Amino acid sequence: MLFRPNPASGVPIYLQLMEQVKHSIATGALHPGEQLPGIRPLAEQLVINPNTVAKAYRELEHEGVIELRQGAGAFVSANGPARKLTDRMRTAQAIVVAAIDKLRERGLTDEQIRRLVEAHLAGLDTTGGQRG
Amino acid sequence: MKSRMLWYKAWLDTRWRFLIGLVVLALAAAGCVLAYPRVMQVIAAVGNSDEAVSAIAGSSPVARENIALTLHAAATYRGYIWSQLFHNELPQLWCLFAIVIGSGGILSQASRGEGLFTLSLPISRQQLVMSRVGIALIELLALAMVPALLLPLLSPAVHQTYSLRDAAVHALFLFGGGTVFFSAAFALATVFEQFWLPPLIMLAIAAVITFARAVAPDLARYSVAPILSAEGYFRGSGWPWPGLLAMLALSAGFLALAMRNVTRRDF
Amino acid sequence: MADTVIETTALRRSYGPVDAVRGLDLHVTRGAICGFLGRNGAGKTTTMKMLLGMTRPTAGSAHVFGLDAADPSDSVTIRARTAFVGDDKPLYETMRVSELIRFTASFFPGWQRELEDTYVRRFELPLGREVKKLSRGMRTKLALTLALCRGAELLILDEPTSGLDPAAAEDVLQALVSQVARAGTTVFFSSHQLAEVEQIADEIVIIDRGRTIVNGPLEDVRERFRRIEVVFANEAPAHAFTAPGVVRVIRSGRVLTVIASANHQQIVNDARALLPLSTDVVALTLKDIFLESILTEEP
Repeated sequence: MLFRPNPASGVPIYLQLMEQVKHSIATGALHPGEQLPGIRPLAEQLVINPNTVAKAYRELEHEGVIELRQGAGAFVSANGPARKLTDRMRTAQAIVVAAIDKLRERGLTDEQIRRLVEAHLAGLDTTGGQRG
Repeated sequence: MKSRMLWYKAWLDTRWRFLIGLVVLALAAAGCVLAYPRVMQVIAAVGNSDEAVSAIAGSSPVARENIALTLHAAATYRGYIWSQLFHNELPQLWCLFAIVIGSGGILSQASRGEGLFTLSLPISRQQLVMSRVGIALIELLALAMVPALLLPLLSPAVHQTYSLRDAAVHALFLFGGGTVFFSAAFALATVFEQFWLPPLIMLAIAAVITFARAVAPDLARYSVAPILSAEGYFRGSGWPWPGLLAMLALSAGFLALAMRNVTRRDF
Repeated sequence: MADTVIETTALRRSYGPVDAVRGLDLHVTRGAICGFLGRNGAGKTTTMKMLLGMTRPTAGSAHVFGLDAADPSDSVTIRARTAFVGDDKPLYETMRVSELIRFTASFFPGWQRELEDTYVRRFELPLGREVKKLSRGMRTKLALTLALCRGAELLILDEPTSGLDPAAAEDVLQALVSQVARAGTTVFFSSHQLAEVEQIADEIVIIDRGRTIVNGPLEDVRERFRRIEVVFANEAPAHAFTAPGVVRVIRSGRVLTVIASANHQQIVNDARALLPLSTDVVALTLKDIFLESILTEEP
C-alpha cells in the first residue's frame, strides 16, 4: 500500500508519507477506524528513519487525520473533521491536477511547473514588488 | 570485566610457534638421551687427551672448548646431559623460541586490521598486554619443563637414571633466566610494526655482544649462559641466585616498558 | 537540549605538522541516525577513533554518554555500550564465523541470542567458514551482526555500505533502521552515499579539513539551504550581498546565482532591490548542500 518515499525529491520524507496516508484515505484504500502499520514495521518496510515515521504520524494526528491510541497504535480517524479535511484535500487535489495538466499541454516541463509553484509560495512572482 | 577469551585469543595467535617449539625441544632432549650409548662408544675409541681433542676440533676455539667440556663432563651421565643439553642445545633453542613467541604482537596485528577489532572491545590496554604475556609465560614454562621432564622418563631406555630434582632445577633456571629474551622481544614488538624486526634487532645485539666478548674477554663474566644452564648448581659451587634475580628484574623491566608503550599508543 | 550521546568540543588531533582534526565541535542526539559526511581525509575516521579511545586527542575533548573518551577506564565503559565497525570491517581472519560470534558474545553480558539467530538466518551467514574466505558483502553483514547483537546503545559505523551491491546495502540500512526502531539505538555513520544518508538519517554532520561545517537535524539543514536565481534584462550586476548566510555568488551573463545556507528571505529582498526580471528559489539536494559546504571552507 505505502510506496517508498523519494529522498531526493526535495519534499521532506515525512511530508511525502503524510501525503500517501491522506491519499490512501481519499481513495478508500484506508477506511475510517482502520489501523495503520506500526511505526517500527513501517520504517523497516520502507527502510526509512523511524523518527520520520513518528513525526508523520504525529503531524497527521495534529491535523485530525489519524488517532494515536496509547499502546494500541495508529488508526484512521472515524469522525467528521478528518473526513472534511480529506474531502477538502481531495477537491484541492483535483484543482492542482487540472492546472498541472493544462500547463503540461502548453508545453511546460515538470521542472518549470515546480519552479513556478515554489516561487509563488515564496511570494516572488511579482517582479521587484512587495509580497502580496 | 572478564577477559578469559583474550587469553584464548593469545593462545590461538601463538599456538603454532609453541607447538613447533615443543616438538623441537622435546626431540632435542630425547635425541640427546638416546644418542648417549653411541657417543660413549666414540669417546672410548678416541680417548681423553689433548691430541685427541685437537684432532677432532681442529683450530676452532669454540669447538675445542665444547669437545673438551663434553669429554670431561661425559665422565658421568649427568655431566653428559648437562654439557650437551642444558649448557648447549636447550638454552639456544629455548631462547630462539622465546624471541619468536615474543615477536608479532598487537602492533603487527593492528596493521592488519585485527588489532582494531580487539581495540574496539570493552577491554583495557592492561588486560590486553597481560593476556599476551600470561599465555606466553605459560608456554615458555612448558617449553622448559617438558624437555627437562623427558630426561628422567627416557633415561632408563639407555640404562641410565636422571634425577627429577636436577631436571626441575635446570628447567626453572632456564625459564627464569631466559624470560628476559622473551620480554625484550615483546617490548621491541610494541615499538615496531613488522614482526621480523624484533628478532632481527636481537640478533644484531647478540652479534655485538659476541664481538665485544671476543675483544674484551673480561666481559665474559657477565654472561647469561651460566644462569641459563645453572652451571653453579651443576658443579656444586653454588646456585646462581644473584644472576637469576638480575635477569628476572631485567625481564620485568622490559615488560613494564612494553605495558607503558601499549597503554600510551595511538592506533 | 535533548539528550546528547556524542559531544566533541574543539577536538584536535595532530600527527606531527599535519592536523587531521582541527578544532571540531559536533553533537549527536540520543536515538538519532546521524550521517557523518566529509571528503576522504577530512578527519572522519580519526574522529571515530578518538571517540572509541583508540587514539587520544591532541587537544579539546570528546564525550560519549557523558563519559570522557580520552580517559582509559571511561573508555572501557564507552566500548561496553558502543559498537564500532571500521571501514575495513576489521575481524579475526583465521577464526570461523561461529567462533568469532561466540568470542565477541563473551564480552557482552547483554548479548541477544535470539537476535543473533535472526541475523544469521536473514543474512545467511556461513557459520563454518573462515572469516578470511568471506566475500565483502558477507564480511560487512557479519561485522554488522556482531555490532547489533551486543545490546549497544550506540553504533559507530565507518562507511557501512561501501563496496556493497544495492541489495546488500539495502539489507544493511534495513538492519540499522530496525535496530533504531526496536531499541532506540543511536547510529553515527559516515558515508559517501548521500542518497542513503537522505533516506535514513535525521541528523547530519558535514566536516571538511578537520572542522565542522554543518551540524544539526537534516530537515533543518534542507530548509535553510536554497539556490536563488536572479535573472536580469542586461548584464548581471556585481552586487556584494551583505545579508548573512550567503555561501557563494556566481555571476554568469545575465544571471546571478546565490547559494544561501540561511536567511534566504532577506537575501531575496536584497536581490529584488536590484530590479531583476525574475527571482527563483529552489531547494538544494543533499549532494549540492554537501558540495557547497565544503567548497567555501578557507584553508
